[in-house]
Amino acid sequence: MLISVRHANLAYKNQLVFTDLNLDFIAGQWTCLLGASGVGKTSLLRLIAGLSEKRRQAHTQVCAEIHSQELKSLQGNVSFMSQQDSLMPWLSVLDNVLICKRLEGQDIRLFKDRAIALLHKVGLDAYVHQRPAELSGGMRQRVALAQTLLANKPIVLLDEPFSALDAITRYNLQNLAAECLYGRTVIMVTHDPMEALRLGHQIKILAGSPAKLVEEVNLPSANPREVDGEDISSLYKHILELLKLYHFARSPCYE
Amino acid sequence: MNNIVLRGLLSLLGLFGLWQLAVVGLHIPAYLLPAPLQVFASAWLNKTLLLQELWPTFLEVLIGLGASIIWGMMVAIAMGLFRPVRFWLLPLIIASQAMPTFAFAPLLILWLGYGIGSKIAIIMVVLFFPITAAFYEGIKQVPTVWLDLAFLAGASRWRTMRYISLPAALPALASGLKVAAVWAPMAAVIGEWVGASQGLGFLLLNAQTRLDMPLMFATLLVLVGFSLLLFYIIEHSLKRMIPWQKQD
Amino acid sequence: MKRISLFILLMIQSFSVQGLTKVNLALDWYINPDHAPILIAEQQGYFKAQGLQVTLLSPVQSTESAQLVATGQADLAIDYQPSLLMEMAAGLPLIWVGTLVNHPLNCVAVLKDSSIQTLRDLKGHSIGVSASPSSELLLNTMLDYQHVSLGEVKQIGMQMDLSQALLAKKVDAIEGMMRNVEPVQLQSMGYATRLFFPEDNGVPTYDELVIVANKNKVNRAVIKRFNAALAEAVIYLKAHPESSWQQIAGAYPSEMAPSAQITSANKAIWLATIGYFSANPGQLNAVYYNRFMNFMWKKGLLKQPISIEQYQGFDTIIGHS
Repeated sequence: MLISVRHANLAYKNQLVFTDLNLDFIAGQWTCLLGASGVGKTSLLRLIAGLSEKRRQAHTQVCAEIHSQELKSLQGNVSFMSQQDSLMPWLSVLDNVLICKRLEGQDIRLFKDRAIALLHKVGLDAYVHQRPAELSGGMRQRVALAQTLLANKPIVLLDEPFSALDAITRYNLQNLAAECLYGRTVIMVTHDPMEALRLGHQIKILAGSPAKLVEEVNLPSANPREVDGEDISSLYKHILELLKLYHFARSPCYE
Repeated sequence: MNNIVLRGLLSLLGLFGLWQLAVVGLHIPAYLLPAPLQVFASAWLNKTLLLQELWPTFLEVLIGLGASIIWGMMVAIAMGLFRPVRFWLLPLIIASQAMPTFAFAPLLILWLGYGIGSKIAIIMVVLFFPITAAFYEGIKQVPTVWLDLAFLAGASRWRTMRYISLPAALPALASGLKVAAVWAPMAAVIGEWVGASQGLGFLLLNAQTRLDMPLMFATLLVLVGFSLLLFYIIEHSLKRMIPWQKQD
Repeated sequence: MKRISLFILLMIQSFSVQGLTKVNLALDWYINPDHAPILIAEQQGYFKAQGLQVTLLSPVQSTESAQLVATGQADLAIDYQPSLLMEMAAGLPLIWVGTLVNHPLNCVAVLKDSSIQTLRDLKGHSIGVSASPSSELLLNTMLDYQHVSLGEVKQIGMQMDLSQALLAKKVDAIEGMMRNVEPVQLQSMGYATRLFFPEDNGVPTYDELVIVANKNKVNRAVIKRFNAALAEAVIYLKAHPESSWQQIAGAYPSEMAPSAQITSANKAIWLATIGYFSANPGQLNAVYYNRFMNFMWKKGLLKQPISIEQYQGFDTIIGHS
């Protein structure tokens, strides 16, 4: 299954963020969208999710053609995981995981056991009935991960889900996510080259203003990879150079 | 000094002390401003009367507040769900706030009579804006990330409202309710001034007309005490019902 | 046949026994001693004896009572004669049907220890005035009568706190007090006053409190019975001043006797007011009426004169029973 994005255009406050962008995403693989802050990665991700049209944000004009080979449309097949604050403070951890099913109009009693199992998988079975306020940042993202898994969509979009966490927590959560999301089509936005190298089967580097696809790096090996893996350090240097090149040429953009 | 009631009581005590000093020191005559001791004496002497007249006002406030909350929440939800409602109602809500109570109170009494019903209606007009506007603001400002979640799950407008917007807006409603708690007794009193034969507002007017100033001030004290108690009860209940609200 | 007619007879009888005519009377203020005849007529059963069931409505803004009658929400209302004339001139469908107080109650008051001995002494002083056109007219006529020009007296508008303004000497004199109320109250508190009356100073005598009805809905038979009950009540009041007070204070404790001080003030007012009630509420003195109406018309408060027939609602061809 291929997800193809054709002729994607987005303008924010009359400035072009990206224009006539064409991208392909291979099914069952983990693709990272890498680029400097403000280049338009998150906008692109929201566009793919279908959020740009229906949940339009202010001052934004957007249009694109998005197709999937196997699915009739992406609608209803996408999960979106944000950086933070995605948990609802009035619900317990368990209810937060179940909220997607409730919003879909399903009977949550059917999913209760599965939710608890998923919380166990992410290591939070002791916190099933706690409130999000009592959890640390890393734990909350684990709940968000469990929520995404319960939603059980073939396409999972991640918007810098671990960038607000400390290095160790980030490392552990990257491993957990790779394990849990195995086999799904994952598109992850990140500004950290190392994260992209650890997790991505393909890294699409976006840079410039308006943003363009400047390079694609393919890593066929299984994720998660270790930081001292085979070509990791040389690729890391390469990517840094590339980003540096565009850093001085860019102008602030909508992200 | 965490308890707002404690602080209120202490400030009040200080105020009484100043008051007593002013009356004695400045030789203020009793028909203008009675001394606090006279007021307390009158309050004690007329304690049955004050409690008797507190009851109708209390009923008006209770029912008026309750009805305002239900009505305000319904209107805010309707505004959140349907654009035309929002479009036409929002200016009306703001206008209701701008209208001086004394202007429309007589009209309501003319339509609804001199009983408790018109006072409740007056309270509902006065509280319409603080409750509805606050709740609607809360509904409007639900974080995007949750609304995105609802969208991706294919939730209908109503389901989004019920499971996300409504609970998310409760803290905003709470602040509106706290304002309402303080205004409700005042609105009841104004209603009683315009047409009633019972209640604390009526007693206030009667005492003032017949120059029983100690009783008038005693009634005022009871009113203030009632307002503070109401505020405390509502704040306390809200804390219990909305425990995730950020506290200061 | 006999059974049916018996049944019908019984029905009619039961109907008439329970069939008291309902009358809604809008007061001008909440219940106070000015309403004594009405309260006693209720308390002593005079209304019931006349086949009437009177319900009292008490708005607190005196302009409202007439409005209630004009809009048909009340059958009768208590109004002030000067106000009634202006309302009629303004087109409200009101008519006079009875008089409660056939004498002015308004007055100009100063404190007894004030330097103002006559109205002439008001020159260079201030006076609090209620902000109604008839009030201003009364005062200006009185001043004019005493050859005091308007520019020589500072008039300050005020609605409430009349007694307090006078006591605190915020003003030197007050217009708008009712001679049976505030001065009596002040006296009972130990403050003596000196009063000047409009009827002594160029203002024709008028009725302070009258009863009005809707011109298009008036029921003359009911009015007759209502006034008859009032007349009986006035006789009773004059014969039993103290006990009548006790009765009413007991019947309306919230309004009349909530606290000791208010009770004693109201009692003094009650006793002082009894002398002012009209012994014959249904009677209208044509001479006094025309004199006062012309006074108001000539002074510009009425756009056109109101004949005594119009005043009583007898100018329409269609009569009401």
